Amino acid sequence: MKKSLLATLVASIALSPIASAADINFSGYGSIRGGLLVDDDIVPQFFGYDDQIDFKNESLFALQAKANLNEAWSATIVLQAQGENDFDVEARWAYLNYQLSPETTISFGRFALPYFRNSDTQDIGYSHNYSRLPKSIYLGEEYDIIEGVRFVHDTFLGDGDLSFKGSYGSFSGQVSGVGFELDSILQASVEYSYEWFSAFAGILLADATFDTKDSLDAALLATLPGYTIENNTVLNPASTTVYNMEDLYADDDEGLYWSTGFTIDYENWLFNAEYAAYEIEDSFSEETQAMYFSLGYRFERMVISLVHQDFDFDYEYEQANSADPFINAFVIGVTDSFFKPDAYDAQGIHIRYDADQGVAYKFELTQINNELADKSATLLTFGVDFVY
Amino acid sequence: MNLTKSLLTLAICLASFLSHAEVSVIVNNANNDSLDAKKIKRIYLGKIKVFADGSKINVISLSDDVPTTEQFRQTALKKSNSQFKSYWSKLAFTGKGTPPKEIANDAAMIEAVKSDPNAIGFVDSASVTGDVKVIATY
Repeated sequence: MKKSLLATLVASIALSPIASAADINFSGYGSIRGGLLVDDDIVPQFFGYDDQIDFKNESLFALQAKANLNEAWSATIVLQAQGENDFDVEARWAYLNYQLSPETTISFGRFALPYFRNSDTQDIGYSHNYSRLPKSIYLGEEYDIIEGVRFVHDTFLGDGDLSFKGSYGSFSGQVSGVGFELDSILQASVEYSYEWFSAFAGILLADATFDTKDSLDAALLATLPGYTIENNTVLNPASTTVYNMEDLYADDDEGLYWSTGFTIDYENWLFNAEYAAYEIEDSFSEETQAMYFSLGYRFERMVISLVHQDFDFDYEYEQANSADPFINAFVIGVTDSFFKPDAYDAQGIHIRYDADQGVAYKFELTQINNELADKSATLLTFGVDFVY
Repeated sequence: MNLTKSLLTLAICLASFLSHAEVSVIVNNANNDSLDAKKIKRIYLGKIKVFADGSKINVISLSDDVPTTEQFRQTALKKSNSQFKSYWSKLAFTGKGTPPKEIANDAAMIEAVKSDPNAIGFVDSASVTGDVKVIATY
């Protein structure tokens, strides 16, 4: 009797969370990066640096804890503290993994959405050869992290590898201080890799809502005296219906992202190229057209990369569809004010030096040219990326 | 004179042999799976996770600072240590796998593979014993 009690006790301790805490696998990654604009006719959008040296903007620490619950299930959390958020710790990833088969994994919870090829690894500086993945594609927005379900399937195609990713979920938060929601996000991508070559294609659909209704209404009324808005319909001073504000609002409108790219890693020569286009249909949004390509060479412990990136919009002004030219001028003005200041291209040199196991030094010099201002700034950054 | 020449030649041969020590990939003696170079590469890159009979593969590596590790990664995986770590960081932090477990030296590796029918590892060929089965050399 005593023996069986002891056996039960031992078994229950072995199965208790305290005992299995020993099976939690800890790892992590991080970056300490400093930078400043050394030549600044403008302060470029997106990069987060000005003419004062800053060590906070792109520095981050992350700790991953993973516990295997059994052969099929595991639980993972990635706690990340980013300088740009005052190092407030955030559960960047928090998910349950179910290994459906050796080739297929389903994740439930909070995770980075693979909008583009490397979106889910953009925080891990050590995983690539740049100071940061090119901003033209990898903007690092809050909506990179969503809650939902994610599916990954790997298989072989001849001597090559084929990887599928699919996600479904939603996001609710802010972008540039404005409320933003993505619902019914449906993402699918495929990547083929063979020895020295890989190619990627992805698509994403979502219902997008920007909380800009009131500010757009106020802007119209302030710009066009005598005009009124009733039930999202604009009436001119003669009380004739001239515009449907629904064509300007992003209110549960379909957002469509697509992207493609390829990489070559041949005899120490490295070439990467990516292109992405995205917009919110039937709204103030114009299609964003972003790309980068880079040519690099790997020396023994060092990789030097030259990067060209371009971030622009197509300006079709489909939402300027009124018979009233004043309305169209307003709509075009609003659209231009949202997007024209953002367009830029940039050319940079990035150096990675593998100093030690799991530690890489990075250095970057990039010239950023704002297209509207026709002015440029030169960004210098240096830092250390690490994994442990 | 001839003896000096012979000794010198021997020394040069020995030096080149030592600097290019052979690496053996090893499995448990009970493992009858046929694993070629392509499969070994896919196993160490986390693309194959089970043996042909469906049992989970326990992938083991020597630690980063052992010269055999760098040689194995360069020849079998075509990756330097830092490329290997960069590659695995993408998988490990996106829920796609766990990097190979690391073991300190050849003797510990042989002991681990000997006692685990699902293990695969690698050692300097000079350290191989009858306790494990060699399936490939680099």
